[in-house]
Amino acid sequence: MLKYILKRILFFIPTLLVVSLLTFALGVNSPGDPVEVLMDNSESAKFADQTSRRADYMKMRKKLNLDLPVFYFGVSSIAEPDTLYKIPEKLHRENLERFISMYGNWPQVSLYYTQVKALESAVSGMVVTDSLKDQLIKVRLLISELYYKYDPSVVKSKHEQLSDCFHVLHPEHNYMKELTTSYAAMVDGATVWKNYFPSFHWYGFNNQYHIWIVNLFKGDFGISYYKKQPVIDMISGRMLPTLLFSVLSVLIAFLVSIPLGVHSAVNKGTAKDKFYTIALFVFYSLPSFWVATLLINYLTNAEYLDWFPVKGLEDAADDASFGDRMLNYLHHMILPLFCYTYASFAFISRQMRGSMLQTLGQDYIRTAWAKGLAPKQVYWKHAVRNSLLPIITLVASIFPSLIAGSVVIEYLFTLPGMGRLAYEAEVSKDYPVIYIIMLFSAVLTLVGYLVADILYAVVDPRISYNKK
Amino acid sequence: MSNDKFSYRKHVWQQFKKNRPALFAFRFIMVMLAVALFANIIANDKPLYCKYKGSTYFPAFREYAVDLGIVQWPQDLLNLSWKMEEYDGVVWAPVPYGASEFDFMNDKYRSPFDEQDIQSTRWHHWLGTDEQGRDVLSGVIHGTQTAFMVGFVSVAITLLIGVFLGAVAGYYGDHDLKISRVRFWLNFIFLPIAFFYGFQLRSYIISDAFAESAYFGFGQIFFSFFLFLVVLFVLNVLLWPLKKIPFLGTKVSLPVDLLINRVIEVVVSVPGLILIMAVVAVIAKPSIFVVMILIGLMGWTGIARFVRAEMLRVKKMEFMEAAKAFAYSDFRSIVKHALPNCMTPVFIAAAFGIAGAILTESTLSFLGIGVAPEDVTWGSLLNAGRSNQHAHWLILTPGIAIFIVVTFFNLIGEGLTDALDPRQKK
Repeated sequence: MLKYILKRILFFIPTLLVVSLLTFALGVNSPGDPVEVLMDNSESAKFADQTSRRADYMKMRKKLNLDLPVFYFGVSSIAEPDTLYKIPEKLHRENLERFISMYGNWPQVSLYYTQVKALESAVSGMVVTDSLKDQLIKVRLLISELYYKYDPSVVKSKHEQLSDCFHVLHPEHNYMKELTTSYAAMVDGATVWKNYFPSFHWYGFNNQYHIWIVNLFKGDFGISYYKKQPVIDMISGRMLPTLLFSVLSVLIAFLVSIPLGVHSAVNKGTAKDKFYTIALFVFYSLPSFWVATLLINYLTNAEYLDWFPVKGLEDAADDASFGDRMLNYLHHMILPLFCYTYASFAFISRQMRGSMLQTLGQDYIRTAWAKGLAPKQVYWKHAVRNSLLPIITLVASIFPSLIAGSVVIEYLFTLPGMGRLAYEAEVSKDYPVIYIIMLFSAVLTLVGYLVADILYAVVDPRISYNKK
Repeated sequence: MSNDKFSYRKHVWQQFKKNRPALFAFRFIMVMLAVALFANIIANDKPLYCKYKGSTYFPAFREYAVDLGIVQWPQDLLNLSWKMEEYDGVVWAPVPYGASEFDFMNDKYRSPFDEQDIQSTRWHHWLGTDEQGRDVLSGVIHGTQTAFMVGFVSVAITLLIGVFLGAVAGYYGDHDLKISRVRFWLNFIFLPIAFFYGFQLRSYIISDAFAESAYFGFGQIFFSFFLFLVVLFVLNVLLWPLKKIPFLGTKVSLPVDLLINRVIEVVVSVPGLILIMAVVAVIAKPSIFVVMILIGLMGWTGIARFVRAEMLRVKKMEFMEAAKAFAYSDFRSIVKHALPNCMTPVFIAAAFGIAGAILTESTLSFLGIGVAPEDVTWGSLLNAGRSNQHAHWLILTPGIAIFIVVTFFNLIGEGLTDALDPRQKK
């Protein structure tokens, strides 16, 4: 028994690791440069001089550990250097990777890149008369575009435009010569074949994933792109409502559906049973977002029936007594709780009915009747206990659907829960928050399964877990 | 029962027909399927037939071919505003409005019961319009098309993955798939190599294809997967001389059942809706196609479990022993003999799966996640109705449509469960 539980927990860890890897991979591949997003983007900081801006960039990059390799190891082509991650700017890095995949000659690619940078620094120190200011701005813009253009025809045309501009600025000086020669060297000396040979790099433990997962265990979940505050602060406040609603709805669903399922099974074939079956079926198929929309539209509306408040968890006055406050909470919770509950309630009732019907056909139930036991004893003492077993495992499978359902219900009722946070993060492209919520819900689900399995092992004496 | 006359399929159909609600649901779904297939003909802002400047066109029919990419619109028809033209002869669709066509004369939530600014009853908006004057009936009809496509495509993916993995896990278990030791260890190196050639080398082709459209993107991913398998296969063929060496050639068993169960656990652990939200956030161009595929990729676990359980049962049957005695290949035993006997729960799960997929998709488009703004689906129609509490026609009709389809697919699932139950066989 203990061995089974231990084994179950051991299996839990690799699954969790794989989920964390998945989450991390999504995070790494999300569009945009996290450093740019999280830097001080106020007007004054944006137009500060380039060197201090760059220092800020490097500082933030270091803080986010983005100056480290992504993973313990990497597979790339032999054309790609294993130290490419050291290029600070994500955009530049991506463009260099493009060049490598197109031409396969890193030394020339890197030479071209340094030429672009040299040109940029040459231009940044340039002082011109007022009449030429526009030209200079245009030159700076063109150079910054070179950092993320890879299509040969586009790059060529940018080069030509640049040299035209330089011709106006400094006719006697040939800034463009080294740039164009290095570009030509890169294109002409292409060694594309190098891209077809894989090479393996080992980066060691000082990598982004390692630090990320260690920080997770320490409670550091990263920084939100949108609110610029630690994700943990955003999530911790939002956990409670969602958990409260989930647990309450599971409790209510079980409390109502087990007697209902039993009742329905005992009276199988009667009009009552048929009514229950149809009603439960309808409930089971009703989309919760539609039900919620209807309820909000017709029960919280002064023009139809104004029975319930629309938004949030409470709006009690500050000086309200404890009782009033609780009543206010309850008033706000009725509709969302109903939407949370009805589908799982229908699901469990149907399962309970089926399970009960199966148990009622067993021999030992016949024996119980033969002994002359009262119906109440047969049903509630003998049959229900065994029919409950398969229902236990349902708790686990309901949890993920509750978390998924919370997104819609909390969005519609504007409840401050995790589901709504997920929606808000999705809309504002706040990747760290989305991925942490995904990880969280996976962990919750896995824990649910673990508990269900262990409960099942504890409750059911017939199952032996030591045998294979 | 005489054996030569007995057909299992016929028997199941007989049993299924006895279940009146399920039969009704099945027939109704067939009608809706027809609506989905002929949506462009039933509701369209282009005429079914028209005589325009001397030549005859069938624009609504042509639209199918254009959607499939077979033909293009002729240059003079490309930017034609069909309603404004003069025709020598014209037949409009029964619902003469497109799903995303704006009727500016009847915008701002025109109720079906209010007066509408139309030429005749022929042009009445039978289910009203939304804020921009889009016809709700047309939206519901075209939404049927989306819903059925989502349901069928995602369940097809589900079946493909679920049946394959379930069959492998059930048939081989943890001890019956034996490979040589050298193959076992070398594949740890082969897998990254195959991944390199299949995906990493083509990463720019894939990402550029995704930037163009999700359709091309998934096509490229599919091709990459194929390449991955080819490379893996070639490498494995190349190592066969090593198998001759005694120590390296010793057989070890591959715990496929354990591995597949772990994969199932991972997939099950992340709530589908949240994973789809997370993935859609990364994709630059959201489209229904992406959502469909993601629902399919998330939903196969149930089917895999059912097939696995059935396979465990079927494996022990006499005819499988016979297949072994005949030295049939594993592939033949599984595909021709074992799988046909494992499909019972698959059909049931597929029916419920379609209901679930349609529900997930409509939830997502209701939230406005993963659909392009111009896509009209049941979920997006319902969402449009939320901003006007008086527009009951916008809140009720799409909701009822979703409810009916989900209920009826569930009913079919129930009916199949009863009909395929062996205890009911006479």
